[in-house]
Amino acid sequence: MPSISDVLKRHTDSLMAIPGVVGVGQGEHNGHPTVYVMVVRLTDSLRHALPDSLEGYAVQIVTSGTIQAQPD
Amino acid sequence: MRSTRRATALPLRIALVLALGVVAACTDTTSPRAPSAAGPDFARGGQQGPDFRAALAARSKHEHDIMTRAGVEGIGVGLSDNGTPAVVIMTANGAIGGLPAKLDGVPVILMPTGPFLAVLPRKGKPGGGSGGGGSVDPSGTFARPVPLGVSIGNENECAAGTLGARVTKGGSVYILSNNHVLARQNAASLGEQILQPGRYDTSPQCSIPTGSSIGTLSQFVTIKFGSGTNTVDAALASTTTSLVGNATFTGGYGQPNHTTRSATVGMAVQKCGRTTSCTHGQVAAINATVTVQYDVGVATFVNQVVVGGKRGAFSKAGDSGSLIVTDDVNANPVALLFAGGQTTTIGNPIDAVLSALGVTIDGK
Repeated sequence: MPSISDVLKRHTDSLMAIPGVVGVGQGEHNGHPTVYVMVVRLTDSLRHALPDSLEGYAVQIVTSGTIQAQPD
Repeated sequence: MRSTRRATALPLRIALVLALGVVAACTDTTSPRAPSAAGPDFARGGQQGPDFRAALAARSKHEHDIMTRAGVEGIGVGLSDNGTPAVVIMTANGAIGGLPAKLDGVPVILMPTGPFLAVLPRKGKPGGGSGGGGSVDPSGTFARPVPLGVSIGNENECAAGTLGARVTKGGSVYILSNNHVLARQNAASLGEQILQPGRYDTSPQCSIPTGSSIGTLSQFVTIKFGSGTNTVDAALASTTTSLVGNATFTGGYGQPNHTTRSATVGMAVQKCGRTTSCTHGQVAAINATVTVQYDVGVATFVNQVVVGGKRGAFSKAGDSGSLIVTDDVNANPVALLFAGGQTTTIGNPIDAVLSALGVTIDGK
């Protein structure tokens, strides 16, 4: 099984190219590394566009909203 | 960004963060999905992120007209369901008649968010975050030397961010915060004054009281907007130990450690900042690539730290520049807070920040 960082290197660009995806990183679930995908809103089109897993790592989808710089 | 426009856009920006949070709360999901036979669909590609310029222009042009209508609580930009930029009109309680479906060709989305009074900065009422910060209002004016975690801003804009840490280089001391707090998103010239509190928090608002300077902008890492990637949103202001201390206000973690730690998923962290005061959270993801919306455009950041709040938001608008440290007595610096979504906060890995600027944390 490839390392999670290699998997991220291979797939981050194509995941980020999906409209509505604003972030991709390494997460964790039940002690296992995951592909952590941040989306503006979890729409049906995003559900279909995102894979369930990548090279053996579960894809974890988190509704983050748009990420904005945070000054007042 | 002109400071005059910045001033009028500020409450709206705060409002938009909440609006997206409210909407997303209906669909909030953290769901690792079981593998299935369905293959990934990566046929589309090429685009680095949505281009908000048309939506921002439409928002600015029509802001006054829209905002004066009854029931409208805010206007901003966001993404429609199909991922295209849209003008977002936030309403007190649902539908409002007579609003256009498009503004200058940009789709309009209505978001029933309720009124925003609760999230606008109010004197003497900090907090609303997940940690409870005691009775200190970090947006207020502090006696010199000022503590970490309080409101600061550039003299040439009516804005406020957070004083993250005091750092040292070659025997001199500096304020560490974000480029977009100290250096006006690349627009500033070295030598501009850094004020405490930031002008968003002065009375009357946006004024510059005598004696509010605590430093001068001395260095910043340029943010690349559009194509290209960034690792840090960081800047330094030259200061002195009589103007800036190296511990948080009462109720915070005190002095940060001189020694940094790399973020790991699940790590417990804390921060003290201008808006939500001192809050606690947990690292949700590392090595993250994130697209971040600024006033002047969208920027992509790589190798970022993603933090989720323990109870409520870990950060809100105005907390930019906060130092994120481990949630233990050591308070080892982990990241520099600079962006966020509804329940999500993004920080630059602190080692990348310190090496980009050539400084070390002035701590215990």
